[in-house]
Amino acid sequence: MKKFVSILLLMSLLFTLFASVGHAASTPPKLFLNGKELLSDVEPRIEKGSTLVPLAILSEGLGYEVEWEGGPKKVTVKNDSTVIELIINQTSIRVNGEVKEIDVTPPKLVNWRTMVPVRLVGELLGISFEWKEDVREVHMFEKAEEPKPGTETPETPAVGYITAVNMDEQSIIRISHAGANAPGKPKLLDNPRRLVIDFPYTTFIPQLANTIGADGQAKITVENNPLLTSYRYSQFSASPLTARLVVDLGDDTGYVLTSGENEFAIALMPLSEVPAQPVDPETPTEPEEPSTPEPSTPPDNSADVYDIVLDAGHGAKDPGAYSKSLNRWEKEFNLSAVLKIKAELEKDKRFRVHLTRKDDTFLELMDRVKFAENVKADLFISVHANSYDNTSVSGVETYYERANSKAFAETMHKYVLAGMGIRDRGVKKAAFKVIKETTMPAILIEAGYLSNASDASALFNTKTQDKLAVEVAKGIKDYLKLK
Amino acid sequence: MKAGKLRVILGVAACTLLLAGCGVNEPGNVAGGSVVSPSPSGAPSESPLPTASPAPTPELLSQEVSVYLTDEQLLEMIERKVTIEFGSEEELLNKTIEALQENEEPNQSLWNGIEILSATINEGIATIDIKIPDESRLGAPGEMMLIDSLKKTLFQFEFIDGIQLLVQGEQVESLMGHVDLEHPLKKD
Repeated sequence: MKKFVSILLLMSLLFTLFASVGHAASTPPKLFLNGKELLSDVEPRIEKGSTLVPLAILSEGLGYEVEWEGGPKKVTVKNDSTVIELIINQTSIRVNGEVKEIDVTPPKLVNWRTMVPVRLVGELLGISFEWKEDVREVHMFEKAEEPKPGTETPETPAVGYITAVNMDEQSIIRISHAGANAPGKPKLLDNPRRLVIDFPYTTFIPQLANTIGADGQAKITVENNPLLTSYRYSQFSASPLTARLVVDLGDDTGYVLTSGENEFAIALMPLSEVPAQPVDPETPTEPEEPSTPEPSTPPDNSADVYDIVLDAGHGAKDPGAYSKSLNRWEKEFNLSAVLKIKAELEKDKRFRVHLTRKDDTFLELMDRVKFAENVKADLFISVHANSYDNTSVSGVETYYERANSKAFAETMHKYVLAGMGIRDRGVKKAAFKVIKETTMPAILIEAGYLSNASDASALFNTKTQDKLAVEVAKGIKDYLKLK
Repeated sequence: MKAGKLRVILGVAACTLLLAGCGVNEPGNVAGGSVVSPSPSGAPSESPLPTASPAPTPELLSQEVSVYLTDEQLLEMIERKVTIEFGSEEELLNKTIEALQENEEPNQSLWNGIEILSATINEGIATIDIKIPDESRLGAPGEMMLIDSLKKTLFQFEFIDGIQLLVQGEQVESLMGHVDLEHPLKKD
């Protein structure tokens, strides 16, 4: 037995050696957002039970603004209603100014990438999660009706007040209120299983507010009820005012949410009893799209529709230039910008937009050229960001190479400048592959210098990217003399 | 075999594998570049001392060489002259590249952040194997000037009429994703 055990120990030692040397560890989890896989150059990893993802995925994929401060190693993630501040390797985080301790792995740096616990940040920013154990996939879903950042609701509704929160013997939680605004779609979350309902522009009457404890919530524990163990309410956010109700559910609990006069009612029942509702499928999974350039649909040669090719520079193993101040890479900016320009252009039915890449994949320069030639593009735009050792160098540059591209470059440059709001480094001629070997008017935009802290901030600022997209679309219409 | 002896053998095998494993992830173990030939063709072979002594001191030549940098604003190329002492063409090649990598404030060398793995010369083609740290990646104009400055610097020599630029032993389509590389780059 002794001999067997020691051989077994040595064998396991060998196996672990092989595991670390040959990277034979278990496959990293995959991430999906609204049904579509999110790709990243650094893989998500599981540490102490929580899934860490590169923060850039959250910002890119979910449209949040992310700021990085190298000195204190601080990351700030925000959307319109919430600001989260995280510090590398620290378990205390700040949510809307309030300090919270997290019970999951703290954010860390891996290969220059900031990795954060996906569930934590996602929850705080209003994302629901589902962990599919068998295929090791994390699925995230955004709230359907929230408009994407950038489109603010025009007027602020009047503040409503919750006057009482009670549960009756039929396991119906009743929320009495005066003028409280209709809650957003309830979120069903796991680990632990709970129902989260947010009431925008709503707060509690003082009587109720006084029941909220030092930990920021009022908790009512429920005994002997398989449907739930407790329910709690809190002022989740002060700016804008958001009241939150959380019901800690049993594994088999379903709910029906109804609203009556001055009351919202959440009826809890076993899942099998929940009546079939016409559920609004807010997350239709997109059909699987190949990650190679789109197959060339027979081009519509009618002059009414213009085929525009947008080329996000670099991708995957080629990260492009680096921003030291933000710890981010060019390829992310390129893709974000291109996706936004596409969305902006597609508002106009006269444009058909083709992307050389729509995610984090690598393409040779020649393949980008061939792609544009195959779709018989009318215009070609390659989007990049710049870099130089001298960090004071900053500004927009627009490049063309062939004679038929000069006017296009000169027109577009003005609009890119308007979009970026940084220095003007002019229109220049240079023989970069993608603008040299294509045949249609083609330009390469260097939207700013990542090596310059101020340019970098602008490049990764969501609002600036939105403006850039709007201006580029305007520029294309101007060049094509469209109204 | 006794149990004890078997354990020792397994233990030694484990240690060997561990040590071997340490070397596996090294990305730069490239066979790139040709074997250095002891006397490149065309090198001045005048040896004033006709003795048969085993290690004659080779005559050191000295040459003024131009290397090309970029200005503060990344707008133009700036010529910088350095004097290089060398005993062979390959040494001249290597020392020129080293000089090319030096900044001369306020002018910058775009080659400063690039790691030169090897530089050899064979029949007029200089083969240069490099490694590009991700943080040294440049934008489009930077990459253009990077290649132009190398061409201008090396093609000043008559003994070089082509440059084979490799990245960790491989011929790549582009160094940094904007300019396509010819294999080899040719003197105009």
